[in-house]
Amino acid sequence: MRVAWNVAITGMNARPENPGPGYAVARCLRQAASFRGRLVGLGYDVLDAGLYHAQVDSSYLLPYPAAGAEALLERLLEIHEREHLDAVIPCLDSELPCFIAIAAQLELRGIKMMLPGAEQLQQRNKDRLPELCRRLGIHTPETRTVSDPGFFRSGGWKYPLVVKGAFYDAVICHEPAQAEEAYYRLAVQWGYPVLVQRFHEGQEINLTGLGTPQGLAGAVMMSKRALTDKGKAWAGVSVVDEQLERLAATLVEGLGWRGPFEAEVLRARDGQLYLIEMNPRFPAWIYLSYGVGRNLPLTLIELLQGAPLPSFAPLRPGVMFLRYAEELIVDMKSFENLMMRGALIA
Amino acid sequence: MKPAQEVLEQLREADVLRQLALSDSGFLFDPRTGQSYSLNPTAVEALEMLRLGLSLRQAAEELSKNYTTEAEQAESCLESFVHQLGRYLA
Repeated sequence: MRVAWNVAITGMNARPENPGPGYAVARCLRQAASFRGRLVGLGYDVLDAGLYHAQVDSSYLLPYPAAGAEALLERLLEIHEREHLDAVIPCLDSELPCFIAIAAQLELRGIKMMLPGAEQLQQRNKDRLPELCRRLGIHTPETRTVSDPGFFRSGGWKYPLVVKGAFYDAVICHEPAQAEEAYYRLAVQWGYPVLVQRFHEGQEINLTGLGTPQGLAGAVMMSKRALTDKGKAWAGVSVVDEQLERLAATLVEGLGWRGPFEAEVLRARDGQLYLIEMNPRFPAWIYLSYGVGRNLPLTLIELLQGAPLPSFAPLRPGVMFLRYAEELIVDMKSFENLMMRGALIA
Repeated sequence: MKPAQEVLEQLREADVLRQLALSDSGFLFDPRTGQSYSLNPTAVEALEMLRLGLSLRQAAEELSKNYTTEAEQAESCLESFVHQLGRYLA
């Protein structure tokens, strides 16, 4: 199927230690031989590097999620007037509630998205993950919300433990002072609740795929081989783990999930799989899906166009990615346009 | 410590040995975990025999012929190799 849609993509921030997925999604689409559409980058900060990249046709700033769904809708409709959008692929956790809230209004104007419902989204929230896992018979490390940092000195949990922000970020803490510091930083950065999770030693393996009415589609699995300071993959390799695939299929079916997701899983030393998180979007390493012949962003757009589920290429273990940083040269006029007008139009 | 033959059987039952990608250069890739390892030529030969289904004793006898060493010594080396495989791959 020829894909000549105008597709807007969020999450174009690209800081090397913790890049957003947006630019990788854009590259998956741009490099697909069948994609002939325009790519519109959507970001929140004038320094989101992906907004300036030549592979993106035009770029716009959005109001921060805290401004609410109405402000987002208003801005997207302004952009739609100029860009005639056919689809949006939201790529950040924190913006998902707003996009879900306005999905029907966008659909009425011909802008399609593939997203879960608000209830599905909430069920995989970090503070509700244990409840979800109990229901579906999936193992997950014990997790609790912490509202009093005195918890870290109470002796209730042994160290190391993991302190996690409501949306992003997790810090492995080896003693109470470190945990308290992480608690305050994460609360300021991401708000409450702050969570604490039992630490399990093991190897992290991640899976990304699409939730469809037919269940899990197009799974791609990756084992991290090198990490940034934030614990993000700097290098990774595709793997095949049938047990992980079954776990992901259970999640998709149990939630009735629609759209992209990432399951972050730990294989403990005893072989047990623990679900650490389920992220409601493509991961930053989604370009590996293109590398293994399962271009998931392209599949998403094709499904939105009404195509049937494709027959995916067989899983290919042993395909590596290595991330690297490079500089973009940005002329002052482009920077000025994005800063003053919130738009960079080719 | 488990007997090496038992470790070997467990690796076979879990279908681990069959799934490994082993190249002539000694590069070994485990497609379940993404881990890669480097094997010396003797280990490559030994692992290939084990993947073909030879028992420890049979593989040791073959290695002792190829390397003109005592079968007992070859078997002892093979046992420690299988224990290593168990530690890294199980």
